[in-house]
Amino acid sequence: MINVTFDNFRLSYANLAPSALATKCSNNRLFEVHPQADSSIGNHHFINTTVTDSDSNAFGFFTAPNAAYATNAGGCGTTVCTGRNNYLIRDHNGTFLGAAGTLVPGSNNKMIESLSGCTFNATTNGYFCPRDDIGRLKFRNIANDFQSRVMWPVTVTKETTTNTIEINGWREY
Amino acid sequence: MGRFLSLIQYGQCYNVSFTAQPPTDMLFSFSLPTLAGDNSKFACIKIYHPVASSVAVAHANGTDAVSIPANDAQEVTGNVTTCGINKYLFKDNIIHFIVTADPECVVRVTLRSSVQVTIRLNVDMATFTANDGNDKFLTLLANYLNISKSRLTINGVTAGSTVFTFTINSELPTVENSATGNPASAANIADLKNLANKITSANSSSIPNLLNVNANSNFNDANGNPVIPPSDAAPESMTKYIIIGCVLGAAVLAGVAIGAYFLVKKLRARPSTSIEEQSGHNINGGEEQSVNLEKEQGLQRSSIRPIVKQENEEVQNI
Repeated sequence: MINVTFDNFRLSYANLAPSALATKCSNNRLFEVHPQADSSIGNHHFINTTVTDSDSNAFGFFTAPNAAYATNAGGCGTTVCTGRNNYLIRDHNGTFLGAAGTLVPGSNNKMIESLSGCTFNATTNGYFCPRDDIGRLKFRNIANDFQSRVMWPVTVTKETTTNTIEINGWREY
Repeated sequence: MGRFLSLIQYGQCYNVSFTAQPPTDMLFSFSLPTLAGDNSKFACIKIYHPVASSVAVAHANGTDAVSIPANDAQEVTGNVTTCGINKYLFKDNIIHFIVTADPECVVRVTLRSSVQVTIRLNVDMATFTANDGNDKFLTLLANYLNISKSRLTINGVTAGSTVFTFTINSELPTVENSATGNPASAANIADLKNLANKITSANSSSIPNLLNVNANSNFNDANGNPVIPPSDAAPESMTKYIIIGCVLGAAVLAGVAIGAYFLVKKLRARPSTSIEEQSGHNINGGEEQSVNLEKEQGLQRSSIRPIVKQENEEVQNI
């Protein structure tokens, strides 16, 4: 997004009048995961994007993977679908987050935990990392067994460390 | 479905391990960090392939990727802006390669059928490797074999005088046809056998300074399973023997059947003729033969009984 302004996104609206509305209007976040997105979620990039009159915790909520899909029938296999753990939101010039950096999901993300400067936010269930060296690798099977053979979970381990991300194939829809 | 997304830190090397055998044909790329991409951002990927064969790296658009010989001191991390630069440690079955965040960088990693070739040359290694000698020799080999240089991978160059080892890879199907490609198809096997025969029959006039050549073939199917094709000599001779055996067997069976037919016919014919002659009846079956024989014997016995009876009466009269 380039040159976009988000206004009045808050988790609560205590000063709203009449007061009855204050209890009905809440958790108004800029971004949340689509409830049916389990396998792949697009990255988001912000350039010259600003936020006004909003809560810092209302930037988003990084929904954890759905435990119900840790199944072979209609799920991703023996472990949860990992699409919700592997996407990022990047502020390229700091106008969105207050500092240039990257927001990433916080669920079971050993790779990001190990990076210096990254701080976990329990309200958003995500990390803010004031760094631009976090990327997303994509790979896929294009052999003739691409729809018939299961070779996941796949572990991606940073060399010389024990920092590992376990990733799954796509959910069986 | 075998599609994977993984957050990583740029500029690092990663070991990618699959729960089962890695796919035999894969594409690697990055979600772009900016609209224009960024070729300075990279990751070094390492994958262990349990199947002993050839793992080759190319660009998804079909162009060659730079390969570093296994015994070269240079590592892929020495040239991280070169999309697809790779090093295959063929003795350990580990492939290393670089993926950059350039929008054009889509790296294809495939397990292929191959011929591993070792060529010994009568030239010292320093002379051979001078002035980009490895690449020049690879070009010479590609021209001699009449194949694209992209199908050849240098595995190593060692002294003694110069021992040059390389891999001839099977043809790579396009990405669009990857799901139907089979590195151990009959065509690929025949092609690689022909190339193996051609390289082993080379001499010093076709490859300067050549002392000797050894070639070993490895075939893998699309699932990565090793394939052992029939030996070069066996198929024709075996087929010939099978055909001859079938023909001879059929002839013998036919002879036995005909002989048995005539024998049975002859056996049937013999007793009926003699009885017909004695009894004057037309006999068609074995049971009837025995019945008629008994009848005949009965007749003889009945003709004797009165004589015996007559003799007994004479004794009593005496």
